[in-house]
Amino acid sequence: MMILLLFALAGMWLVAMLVWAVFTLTSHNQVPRRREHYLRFLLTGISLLALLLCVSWYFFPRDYDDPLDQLFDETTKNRPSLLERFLASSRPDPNRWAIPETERATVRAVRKIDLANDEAGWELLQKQLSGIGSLSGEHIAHRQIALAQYIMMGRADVDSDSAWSRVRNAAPYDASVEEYEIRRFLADTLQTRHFESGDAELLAKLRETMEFVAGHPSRNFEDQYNLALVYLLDGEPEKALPVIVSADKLWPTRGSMRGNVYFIMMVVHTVLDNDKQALSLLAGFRDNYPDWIYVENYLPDIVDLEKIYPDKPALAVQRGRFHQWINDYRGAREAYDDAMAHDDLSESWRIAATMWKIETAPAVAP
Amino acid sequence: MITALLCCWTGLVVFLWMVQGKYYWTRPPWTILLAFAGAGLAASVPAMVCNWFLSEKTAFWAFDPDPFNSFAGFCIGAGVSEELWKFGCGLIVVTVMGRDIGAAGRVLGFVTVGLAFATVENFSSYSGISTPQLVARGFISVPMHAIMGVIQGIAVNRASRGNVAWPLFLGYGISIGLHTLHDTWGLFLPEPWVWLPIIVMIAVLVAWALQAWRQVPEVLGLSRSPRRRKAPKSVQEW
Repeated sequence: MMILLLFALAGMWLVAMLVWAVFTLTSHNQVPRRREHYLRFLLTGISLLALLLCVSWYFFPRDYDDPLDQLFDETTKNRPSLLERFLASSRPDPNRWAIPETERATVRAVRKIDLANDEAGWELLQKQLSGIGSLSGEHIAHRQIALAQYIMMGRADVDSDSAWSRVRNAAPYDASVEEYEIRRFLADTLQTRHFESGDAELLAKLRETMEFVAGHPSRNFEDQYNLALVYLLDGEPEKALPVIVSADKLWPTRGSMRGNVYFIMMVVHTVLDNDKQALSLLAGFRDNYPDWIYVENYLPDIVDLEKIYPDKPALAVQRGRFHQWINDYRGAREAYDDAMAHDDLSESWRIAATMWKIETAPAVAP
Repeated sequence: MITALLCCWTGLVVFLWMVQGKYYWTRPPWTILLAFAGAGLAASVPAMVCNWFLSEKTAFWAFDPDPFNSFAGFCIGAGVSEELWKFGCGLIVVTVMGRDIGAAGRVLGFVTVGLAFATVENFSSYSGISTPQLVARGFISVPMHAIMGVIQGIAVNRASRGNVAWPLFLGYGISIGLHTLHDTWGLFLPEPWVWLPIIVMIAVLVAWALQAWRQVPEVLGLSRSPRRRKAPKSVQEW
């Protein structure tokens, strides 16, 4: 309705201006002043432009339904961070909170290329990402390609050796960031394997790699998040705190990955016995986690963290709160009981657990 | 620092060269020229909004692989929109404070608008491209914006002298055509030959603009190359 109204207004304006222009041009009796000519020109030009934009918008809308977009959507359904990273990594300023549509447009530009089978397709993608009109330089283009490879490796569209060799081949574009990009890719792989196996050796290797990556001048917000996570898993929350706070400040989007940052920050404060911060972060969790209905996804993580930090019963209170949020009152009461049976539970958390436990009690009929 | 220099050096050189080459008898209208430069900066804002709208909400993204979409994106975004905002903002300055700047002042004013616009465009959209490409823009795209300024300045002079509107529309139309042509040559030619017609076109236009700028009088009656005027018929008879 609005677009039709705009159409009508722009069209009528254009016709009126043209009639006015023709009338004055052909009339010998009227001698308009210069300013009237300027005004007439400006109004005609603006109405012409408005009409063209409306026609473009209405008859040639942006088509989002393309295979490459679909590929990323499918790929990242379970791992939204990959898509966020892919789209966020080309941003010159990571503090920009919105994902620019232009980046998606760049991706769409190569929508007809079969990236899994077409070697030349990758070259064209790189050209599109780094050429005139792209938002980023060659370095970022290579990083995006490496991330795309990583995504496709996760889908098993390309084997890991092939993905790895492509990253290696892409690296020499800039010697100063070669080591950084390679270790970044390595950290992604190590992290995935560590989450699968829980191997302590992998964690040590991951920590070493992440310290290099997050300490590099080219580091970004996600590197900091990953380093904080590694410190937390390695039992050093003191080191994790400043890093996760910095990552939270720099994080550009408010997707589910940002919810992970918030969650880790809350856990770090909890294990550091910063009760005030931890409780207020827990209170604001709902507003900072967009995929609210899947909040139970964090329960296994809390259980794992309780194993790493057995002397921090406040984590059990948080587990109880998460159970309560999904209406699992029995699980919530058990978690609160676990926490309150522990002597180390601070007064603040004990009060909170008592209050929340009362909320889970069945209502008594009057 | 080098990127900043590459983004703005042509604009400064062209502007200073035009000022020193024309203002022989009189002092350049610095304040009004500053206002024209501000108009160039201001024009870049709605132009960017229009380009953003085209690329995000319509199929006419200027760098779309589909030649039709790309052509339409350049024609509407770069041609119709950018030239309108440049021309319009320049006209506002002429209307508000440029009544007495003369023919040369108007041409130089619109060139200043174009140069300021091109500099902002270089900084905002093209500062991330490679150094050779940025250098090439300095020699081709920035002078192209200056030439559009010459065309628009001459159009305003004609409109002002004859008290008619059609030169404005004609100048605007020519600007749209040339700007679109400049941006879309690459769609029709294979890679090694893309730059050749643009260079030829810019060279021809530069030659024309130089000749036009030489003929524009600094102050009526004080031009170094005054145009001979035929005496009115009544005077001849007398």
